[in-house]
Amino acid sequence: MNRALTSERGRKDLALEHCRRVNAGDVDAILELYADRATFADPVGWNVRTGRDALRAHFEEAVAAGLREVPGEPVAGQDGMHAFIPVTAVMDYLPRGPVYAERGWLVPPADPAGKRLKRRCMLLLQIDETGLIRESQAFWGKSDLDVIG
Amino acid sequence: MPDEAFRKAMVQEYARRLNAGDVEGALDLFTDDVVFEDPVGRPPTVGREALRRHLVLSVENHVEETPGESVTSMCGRFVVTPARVVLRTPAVMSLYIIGIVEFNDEGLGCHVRAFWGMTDMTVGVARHPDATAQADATRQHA
Repeated sequence: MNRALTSERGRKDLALEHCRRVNAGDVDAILELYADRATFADPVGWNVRTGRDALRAHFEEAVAAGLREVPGEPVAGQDGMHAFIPVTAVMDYLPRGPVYAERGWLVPPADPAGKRLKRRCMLLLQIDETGLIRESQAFWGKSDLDVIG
Repeated sequence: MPDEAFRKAMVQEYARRLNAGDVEGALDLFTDDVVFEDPVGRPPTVGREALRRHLVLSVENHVEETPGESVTSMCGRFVVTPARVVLRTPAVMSLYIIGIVEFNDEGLGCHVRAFWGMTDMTVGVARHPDATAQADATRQHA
């Protein structure tokens, strides 16, 4: 067991490191933080996906859309497993915007050129005893999503 | 199914009632068999009577809960909120919490998970809320 990673501070550092790697745009480095059979829901309540291939596809699309995340202050669970961090994310409107519009999550802009998506979320990470993310749940709803210029 | 605005408003209303010492009003926002994990990782408080004792203790300790901006989920079930909580026991305890409330179809909270660790608690330091917000802003933009 890597105690440094499963301590409260270790789990908070992992959550912040996840944001740093997203902003660096390095998908391989992001995936190194996850266990092989990790599950993720983004957003919670839509669907749950499993495994590295699904994670890679998810982050490759997001990085290609210029995803930038601004983390807030993380907290840790007293269960030895969880970290929870507020994240404000901005990415290009394309390609996800039309998908979200089709689902009724946003009103599409008249001209999507140059538009971006801004999303406030709370990211709940469950971290295994080796310090890898076993489950990632991004909480956000329609009212937490905006189209910005 | 409670909509997103309802779920977000519930959190503000819970804090308002609790800060006013209105334990019965706060209890009315939850089911009779509510499971209340505060903090996650310790044995949960289960049921209205147990939650009443938990909230009465909080009020006796002059609880002051300041919720931040909530987010929700796409399934109609959750609201997630960061909050500052100050208790005076009489030592001043300050907590930074991120809490998940899960709702039933009638819009009552049925499961609460309050995440806060030992590293999210300070004892004996009474920071002004404005100063706390300022420090957060500084940290976020550092």
